[in-house]
Amino acid sequence: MGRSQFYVGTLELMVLHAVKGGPMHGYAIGQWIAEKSGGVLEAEEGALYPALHRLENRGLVRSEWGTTESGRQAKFYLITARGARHLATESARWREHSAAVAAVLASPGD
Amino acid sequence: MTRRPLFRRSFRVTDFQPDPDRDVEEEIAFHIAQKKEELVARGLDPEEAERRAREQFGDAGRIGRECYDASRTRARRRVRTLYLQDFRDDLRFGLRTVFRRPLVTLVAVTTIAVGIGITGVMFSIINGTMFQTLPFPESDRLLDVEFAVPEGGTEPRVLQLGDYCWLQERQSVFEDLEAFDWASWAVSGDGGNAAVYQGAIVSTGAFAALRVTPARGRLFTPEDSLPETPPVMLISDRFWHTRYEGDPAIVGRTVRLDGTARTIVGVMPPDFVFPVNQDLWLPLTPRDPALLPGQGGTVESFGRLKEGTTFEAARAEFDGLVERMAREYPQRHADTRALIRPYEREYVGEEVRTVLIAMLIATLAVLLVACVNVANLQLAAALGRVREISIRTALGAGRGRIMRQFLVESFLLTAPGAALGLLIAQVGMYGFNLAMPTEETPFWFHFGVDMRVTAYIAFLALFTALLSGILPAIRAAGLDSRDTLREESRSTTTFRSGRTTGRLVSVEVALSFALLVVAGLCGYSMLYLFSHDWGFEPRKMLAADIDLDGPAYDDPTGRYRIWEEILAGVAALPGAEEVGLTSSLPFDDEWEDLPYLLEGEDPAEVRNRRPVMTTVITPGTLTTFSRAILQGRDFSDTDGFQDPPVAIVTQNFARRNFGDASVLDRRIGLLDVHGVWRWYTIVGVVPELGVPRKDPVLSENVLLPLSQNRYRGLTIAVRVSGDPLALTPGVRSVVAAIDPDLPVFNVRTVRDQLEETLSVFTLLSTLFTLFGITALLLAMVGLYGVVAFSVGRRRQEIGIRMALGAARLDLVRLVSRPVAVQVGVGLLAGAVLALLFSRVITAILIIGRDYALPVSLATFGLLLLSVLLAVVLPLRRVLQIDPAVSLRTN
Repeated sequence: MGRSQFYVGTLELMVLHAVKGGPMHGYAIGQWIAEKSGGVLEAEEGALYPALHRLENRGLVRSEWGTTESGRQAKFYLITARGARHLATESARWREHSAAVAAVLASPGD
Repeated sequence: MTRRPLFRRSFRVTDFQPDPDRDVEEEIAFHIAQKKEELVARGLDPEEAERRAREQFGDAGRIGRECYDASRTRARRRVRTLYLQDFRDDLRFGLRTVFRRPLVTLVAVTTIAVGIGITGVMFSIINGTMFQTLPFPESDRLLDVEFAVPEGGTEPRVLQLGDYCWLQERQSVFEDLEAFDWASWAVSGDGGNAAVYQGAIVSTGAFAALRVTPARGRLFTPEDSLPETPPVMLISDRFWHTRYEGDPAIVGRTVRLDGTARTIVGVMPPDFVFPVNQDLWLPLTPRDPALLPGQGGTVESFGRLKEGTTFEAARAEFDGLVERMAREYPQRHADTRALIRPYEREYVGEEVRTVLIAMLIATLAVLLVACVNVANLQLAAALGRVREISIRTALGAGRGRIMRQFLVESFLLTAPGAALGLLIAQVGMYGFNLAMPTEETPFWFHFGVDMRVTAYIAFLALFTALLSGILPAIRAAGLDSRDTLREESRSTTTFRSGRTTGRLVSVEVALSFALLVVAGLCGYSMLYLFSHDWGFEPRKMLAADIDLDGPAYDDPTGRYRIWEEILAGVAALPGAEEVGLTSSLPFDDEWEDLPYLLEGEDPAEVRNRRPVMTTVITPGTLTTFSRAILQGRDFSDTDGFQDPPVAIVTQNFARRNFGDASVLDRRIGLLDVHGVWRWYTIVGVVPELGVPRKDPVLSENVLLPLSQNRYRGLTIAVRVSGDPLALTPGVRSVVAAIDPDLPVFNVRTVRDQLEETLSVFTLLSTLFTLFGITALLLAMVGLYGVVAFSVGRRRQEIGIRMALGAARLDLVRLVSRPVAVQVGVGLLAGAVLALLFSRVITAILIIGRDYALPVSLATFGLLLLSVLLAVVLPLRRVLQIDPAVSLRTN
């Protein structure tokens, strides 16, 4: 399992982006990431839940228990103001970074 | 987050606390359930779906643990935040409470401020004297060398030059044994006015031992102490600036000191005024081979410990050395023991230390009274809050929470009190510095509010808050909410604070009684000294110091003629009534202590006897001070150098040593500085010269005629009909006519001298009186509060009793009886305390404990009067209670 620093940071960024749109429980977040990446990225549970709790610890998301559409009790995650700020700066940095990596890889090798 | 209304926040039951572990478990369970549902929807059978879901989730235990950790941290943080939030609420609620009762708050804050302020002042004084160290590198390695307090004496003995030389040759623990002697010189021959400056004669290595380097020029070298080397001197930076305006060409300049030309070889750095407040230094010439232990003038001795040597080693070596010296020179040193102390210790005598610490305890006692008052105030106030507390308890606030609320309020009262107290201490120290005579204050003493004092005050503030808050807090937390809420009308009696406040009153009365007795003793002796009938009017007497120093005055006979010339000249001045010379004024502390011997006594047998205080006078000095000759005669011109030595003794000396027998023509021996007994024939008896002392030995004196004794520096005392200071130019011109280089200095009235001699004592007395009065005022306020509180509490009961026909006087008795018991207990305990305190304080009082009883009785009267006042005022309200009204109010 390639849980590099890089991946951890990216996962958190994606989670933040997911809950930016509204409260979501952990299962839905995993689904959402898989769907948006066209099935390429599958957030593993083993990484997702610890990431959620870490984010909550850092005050970037907060949680509350609520009821799902199917009537189940689930823990919903909401983005905080700090989380939104963090998401904005970090996703900008990520885009810059990935564009740079792409540019490097696109250039002809010597 | 929206702020809930203050009331809700303060009275909050417990907040919902999520369980961090269950939280995680449920979350994982939900995930698996959701997954399973999805798989079932895709067509898997439920059992298979469940298995797949779990498998896919992975190691639930590990993931769970990772989540638990994060979740628990969060939960802990949350508890902490809640606690702090509660604390903030307590603070806000407390502030409201405090501001809702402005008068109570004002009294409490002022009380604490006064209590903390005066103990802050006292601690600053102790800090300034006892906790300061010499401003030299590794000053803790500088040790003072003396002889231990002799039996029956009060102060340690300093070394004589012979002792110093003997010890210096044999010691090995110090880099070298150093010595210095106090001195003063008339400075002239440099273009400035002839003036006298304080200085010291120091061993040539002394400054190197202190590790000071000169700002200009050089220190002394061993050669400087040799008689054949041209005379040199060192000067202080202060002297350099005031007398020579910082002249850069100062080193090498020649100045006359007591008529001897000396070259300035160096200027010491700024603020260096060793040993205490001196400006000039000359090298000490110790090597007189003829000097043996027990001989020579006195010197102060100290040394710097060698590298690797300890204090204990130094002490052991000097114990041994001095023991040996005592064996080899038993005549003077039979019972001599060494005394090695940290250098600074010598400058704060044991008596002064005891008194300072006693005073600190006294101020802490005042602070204790203040705490008691504040505790009482809070107890009384808590009474009015019984319902509030009950409601909070009923709503789920724990005892801890209620206690915390009370402690927080107590802190809220203490914090501004302490800040104000700090201010009081600062103002107090400003006043203290103004009143403190600076000339005799060692230069490293520093009286001010520094970090140490601030820390002390902060600590006391904490202590005060706890002490004054804990009791009300415990009481409040102990309330039973069900009782108070159900039986509203009895709510006030539920709060059983009566017994507690009663005990506090006893403590208060006891402390202020003790302090007042001490203050009374101080005040009384101060009053006594200033109103004492000296037999002369101190305001009408001029005193001035004249030193006949220098080679021109080396011949004693010639010197005596000059003294006679000065006396005759001053006596002839218009306004001068009587004139005399003396080596020390009646009440100053500069009398010379000499061991004495009666005829037929063996010196070895009386070596433990207290020495006698002696002074030198001229014919006419006694008349000047209005002292009649009781028996025999005054000194006269016929008592010359060649004639048999004569002496006059005081009545007390005669009585102690000769009983009722006639003392005229009896002989007494006095030990001179060379260790030789010199015999004197008693020719007269006079009454006491100075203040009647608590120590009778101090008024047993021997007076010697100047005509037979070699004195260079004397004080001239002139009884004047008009303004004494107006005579100053006349006295100066008489002396200048003899030699313009002779300085006339320290010109003052005898009253000034008296005030100066007593200044430190006056200061201490004033402080103590202040403490005592403060304690009394605080106790009165406290007592008033307690009685008013108790009357208020029993208002209803009194109303019922009145309605049932009780006599008003009986009601007064009913309310006042417990107070009377409490005050009585307090007075009793106070009397015991006062006895202990006065034992300590009489150590510095000049008048004796004979006055302790009348002073105690007077204090007792004053206290009783104040207590009555504080009790009667609120008691009057009992008589004003209208039964109809008091019954209706509930």
